Amino acid sequence: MMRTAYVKGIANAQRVAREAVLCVAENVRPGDSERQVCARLEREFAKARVKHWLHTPYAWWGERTRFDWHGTWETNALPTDRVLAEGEAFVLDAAPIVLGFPSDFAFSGCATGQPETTVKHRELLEQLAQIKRDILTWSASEAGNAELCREVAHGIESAGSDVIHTRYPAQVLGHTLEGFPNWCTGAPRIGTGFQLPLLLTYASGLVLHHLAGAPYPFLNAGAPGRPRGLYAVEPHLGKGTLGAKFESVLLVDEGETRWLDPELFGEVTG
Amino acid sequence: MAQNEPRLRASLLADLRIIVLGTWAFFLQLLRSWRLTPKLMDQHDDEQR
Repeated sequence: MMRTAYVKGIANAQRVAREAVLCVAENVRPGDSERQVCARLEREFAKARVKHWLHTPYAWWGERTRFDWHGTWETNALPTDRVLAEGEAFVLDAAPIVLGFPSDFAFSGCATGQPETTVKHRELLEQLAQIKRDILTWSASEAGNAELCREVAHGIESAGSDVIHTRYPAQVLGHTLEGFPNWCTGAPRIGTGFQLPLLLTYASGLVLHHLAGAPYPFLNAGAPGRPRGLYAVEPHLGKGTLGAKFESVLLVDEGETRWLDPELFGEVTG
Repeated sequence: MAQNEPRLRASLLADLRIIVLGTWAFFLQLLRSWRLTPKLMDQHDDEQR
């Protein structure tokens, strides 16, 4: 497949994910439960004829945006009956596969009703916007994957916030979106949360990395080499009871390093 | 090459751990979400809003 066609396929999928998530996010209100909002997300994606997923929609409210839970991330991250209270932070995150191409988009918001918290949350979003600009600079430099992860963590900590993305499975700052469509892209949905295309693609990516020297599929502190190709990058930070993240697609090709959506939660320009 | 061997082995073990724990967590998630999924996918689930 031509490189430009591949990038366009990913951009289109990311556009679908962003539109559905933002459509639901603007109607999130205190009193909504995580499960209710996930059901709305499911409905939006059903309208877009999404049938396959890297992961189905997640919604996290309040202190759950910080992943302070104990035990397995995958089970704790599933939507609960917890209800959003006034002034609480929330995060919506969905990764549909559209026409065989994966996407992964996340939005961070704050429920109305507590002006002081709204100001603190806006500060976190400004930090995220700065990190987004910095990641572009670091990726365009000679920095390796591990160095990039260190710089992001250092940037978050030096602003007095906590690094949350290291609490994801495999402690990832990001994961590759290369290698799709593949043999497992059309795997049926099983349950809620991470799906077979995610599990099988990244497991085989790790095996191929060790057996055949394929590029490492994750961006984390132990990742070898330099960033190369398309990544879903998801820096996640926290302060007090608030957690916030963005998830966007970064393209690092020879002579070209850019976000497919340059602004924080902004339009996917492709 | 010999100096790199312990590092390679450590990274191989770390990645094997990711695969094993990820697979285990996938099955736990499957059990936990079995009854939740139809409710999320029910188009009328959100009527009370």
